[in-house]
Amino acid sequence: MKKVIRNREINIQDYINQEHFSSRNISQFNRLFSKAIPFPCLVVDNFLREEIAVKLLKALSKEKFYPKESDLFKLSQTSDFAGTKNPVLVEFREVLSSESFVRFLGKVTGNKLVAGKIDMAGAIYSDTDFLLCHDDKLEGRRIAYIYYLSDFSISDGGSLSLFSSENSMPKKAVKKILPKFNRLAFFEVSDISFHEIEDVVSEKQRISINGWFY
Amino acid sequence: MINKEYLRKENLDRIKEIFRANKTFPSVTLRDFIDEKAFLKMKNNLARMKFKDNYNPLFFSYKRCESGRIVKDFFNSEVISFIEEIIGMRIKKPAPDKFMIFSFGWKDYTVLNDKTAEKDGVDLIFDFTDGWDERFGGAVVYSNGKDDFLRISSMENTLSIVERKNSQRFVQYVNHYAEGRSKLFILISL
Repeated sequence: MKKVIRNREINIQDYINQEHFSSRNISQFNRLFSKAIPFPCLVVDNFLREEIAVKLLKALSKEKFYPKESDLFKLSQTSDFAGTKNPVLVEFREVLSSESFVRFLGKVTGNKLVAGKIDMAGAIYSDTDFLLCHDDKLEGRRIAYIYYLSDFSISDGGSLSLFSSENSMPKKAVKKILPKFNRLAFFEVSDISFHEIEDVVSEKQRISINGWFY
Repeated sequence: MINKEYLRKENLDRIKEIFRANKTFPSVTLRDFIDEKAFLKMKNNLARMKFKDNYNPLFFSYKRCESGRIVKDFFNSEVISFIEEIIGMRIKKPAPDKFMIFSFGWKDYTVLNDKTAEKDGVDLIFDFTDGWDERFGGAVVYSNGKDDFLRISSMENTLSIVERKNSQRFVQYVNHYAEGRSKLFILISL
């Protein structure tokens, strides 16, 4: 579970709650992930140690967010953390792309994932922001993830909705994942991984770090 | 039926000029396009129409009704001649699926999509929507795929004529500020 970051040895269990790495939890996660409806996905609460999550939120608030709008989405996003100089964000990126974590995620998802290769950026969805239904399919993407840094209730909007499908076309949103502070959600990217982010309908900001494993 | 001001020669010439002035998206928007009596009659007929949900999460969400009487009332010989004068070409009668009446409320949208991309042509958008605020979203947006956009906002009794030249249209997502309101318009693709 050790990895050297900028001449400093770190242990990913200093960041991620240790309980998630027990063999029992990994087996249970794997079962839940593979049997999930409408497609393989999982939600892990209390993902990071609380103080790390707080530090991460503080670090993210110092990043520059760029507003983006098209027919498909309206949101604000940072550049990929591969280019950030913020040490807290660099460290988080290193932790998630480390061999140890990628091995853990591989066991949970039953996917062979590549260590060291990850996309990661911050996103803020404010009032009226949205992301319409799509499948995330792009060359090499295996697992999509969202790590939430804000607490929403159903009435705030901003849920991640997962769609059932028929003949490889999305049919209906059948599962909603609410943004909760320190929650990690991830799903397998496939021809049927249709999902959307519901529009935010309150003054709250939906803050997250998201990307893909390969 | 057409507002008499628009039929005066000097005004018609000015409209033609405006239409051609935008090289990327030749277009013009004409407010109070038809006289009040004709507009109210069409609006009353519209209130009796039944709209059906059309939902394909990847591409669109809206309500629609078949054109029927309303489009026939609107797309009459006077309007056809007027439009031919502005766009400078004869209009062929479009297929029935090119006449549509749309209703867009909260969570409705269309997205750009290669599969339904239309050939170059002319769009007529005649709007029935009263009291629509731009912050609700729902603008009809034309994109040429090169960061150029034309936004058609909503206003009652307004006709927009847009020439599609290497451009495609989408309807911007309607957000929760629209509450129970809906945006109603006829779209005729020529």
